[in-house]
Amino acid sequence: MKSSAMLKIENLKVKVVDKEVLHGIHLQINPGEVHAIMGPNGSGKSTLANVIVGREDCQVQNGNIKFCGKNLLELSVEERALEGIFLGLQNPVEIPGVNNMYFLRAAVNSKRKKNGLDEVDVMDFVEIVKEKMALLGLNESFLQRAVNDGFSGGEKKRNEILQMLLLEPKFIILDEIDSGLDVDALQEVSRGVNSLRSPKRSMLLVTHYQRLLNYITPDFVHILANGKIVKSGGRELALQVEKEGYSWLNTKTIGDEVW
Amino acid sequence: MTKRTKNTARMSQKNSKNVSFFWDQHALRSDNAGRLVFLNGRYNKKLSNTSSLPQGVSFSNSKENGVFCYFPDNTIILKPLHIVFLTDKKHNTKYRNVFTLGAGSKICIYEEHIDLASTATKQESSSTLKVAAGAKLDYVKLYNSLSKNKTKSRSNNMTTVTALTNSLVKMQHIFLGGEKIEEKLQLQLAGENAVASIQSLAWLSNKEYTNLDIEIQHTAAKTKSHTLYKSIANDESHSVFRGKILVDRDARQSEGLLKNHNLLLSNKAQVDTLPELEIYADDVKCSHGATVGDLDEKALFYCASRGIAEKDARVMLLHAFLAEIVDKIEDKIIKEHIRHNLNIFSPDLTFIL
Repeated sequence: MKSSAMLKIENLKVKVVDKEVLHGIHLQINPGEVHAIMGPNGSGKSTLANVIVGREDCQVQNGNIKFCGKNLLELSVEERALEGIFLGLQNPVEIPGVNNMYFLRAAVNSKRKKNGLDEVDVMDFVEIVKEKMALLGLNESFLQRAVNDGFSGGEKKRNEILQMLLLEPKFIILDEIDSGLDVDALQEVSRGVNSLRSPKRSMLLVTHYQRLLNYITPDFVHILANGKIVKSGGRELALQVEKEGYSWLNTKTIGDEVW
Repeated sequence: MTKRTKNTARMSQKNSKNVSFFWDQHALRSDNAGRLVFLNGRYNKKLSNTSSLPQGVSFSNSKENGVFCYFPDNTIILKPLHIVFLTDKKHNTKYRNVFTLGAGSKICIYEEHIDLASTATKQESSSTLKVAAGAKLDYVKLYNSLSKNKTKSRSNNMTTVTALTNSLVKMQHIFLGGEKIEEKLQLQLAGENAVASIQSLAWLSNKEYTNLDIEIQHTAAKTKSHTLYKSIANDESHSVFRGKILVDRDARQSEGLLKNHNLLLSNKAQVDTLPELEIYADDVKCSHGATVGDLDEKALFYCASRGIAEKDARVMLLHAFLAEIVDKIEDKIIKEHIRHNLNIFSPDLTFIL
């Protein structure tokens, strides 16, 4: 593997509430690559996504995560975000009373501050946001509402993608972003994600179904089962999952297919 | 230089610098239906503006200082009547206020209790309000201490309200500081279909203490009351709430709702809450509830995962907690002024919610 990895995970073991959920993950993602993590429920997919952004309840027992050469485990959640890591959540928290526009601007300004830039001009920002919202099929009333408060499942996910488009992160993790979306919404969300694909940006898609991968084509697919990556391959692996489900995993020896 | 700033400059020779600074900053300098200012217990002509004062408003400057308002039937005043009780030096003051709203009148009162003194101050006030049939009263009370030594002012206030048939009483207390503030409200819904809405907040820090004691008496049928009090207790502050809904035997088909939500942000802060119901009528709908908690960890994580610094995220969530109350302030200028005051607590982040 090339040494210019964006994200490099080595022998990562993670506990969540006294139970080991990830039993030694190895994964390397290079700039420009889109990886998909698939697996049955309870395999540890979301834990993997959460440990990368630094959720407190994910206790790292062993191994390390490097991001652009930096030791990620030494950084706080906020610092990781400012380094350019973004996690789009399956079910983001509702924050009644915080105006969505205000929240978006606070996030963008934090990033600008870190890069030594002045705060974004309010009027300029409104224009930028409107442009991105059009791409996602959102109307303007969306900005005046409180963050995710009373949003439908589809609106919450589009709001996650909107934040992602505004923050332009280096590394994007999307956790089950397709769940509960109808075809139209899935297309709009995918259009948003695809618009950010670039040789300098990498993505990790966590998904149960292969459906999402029809819209966002991954370069690599990994199957996670019982806290380990049991199989890695290309796009065709996802199609095999669609055809055969995950049951074939049980009949085969779960080997240490290490990257 | 405008006329006003000249006036203020001249004023500062007589009054302390704090007072003129306070006025220069004030959003309600001109946008009011008259202003009555009392400084250290005395009516202050220079700070007041009586040129546009509505009919029926008078004030007393004798032993019992205060505001006396009698609004005839169908008086409608759109801009708020601005009443300010200022303290800028050590003084014990007592005020007595009476407001009578005639039938069908609509009045908005913005009452500020501001402490600018650097030494201990003590204030007592008692207000009596009568709201006649079909009248609407919008009453916002702000308590703030802008002195450097924030924890030296004491204030003890009693308000009695009687609301008659089809009237609407909206009261909001905004507690933003003072060593010891005790506020008692007795509100009687004495006519059918009378409605009371009380939406109040406290943001306490240092060793501040606030005690809000509300008793709502439903004595007529089909009356409604809705009380929501939200308080934030930081540092070593102490927030006390006692709320009681009393429903008389004759108050059939009445509705009463009483809620108190508190954020306890420090190990040394304290919150006491006592919501009570006392019901003697059948066929009523009443509920009460109280919560005490910390900021939502999930929301803090979400903000952090978007790169928002924890300090900013906390202030944002605190503002969000209070926004529910601030949003209920009907008058735009008062709302802006309250937001401005809340921003003083968190200069790094603007309250724009």
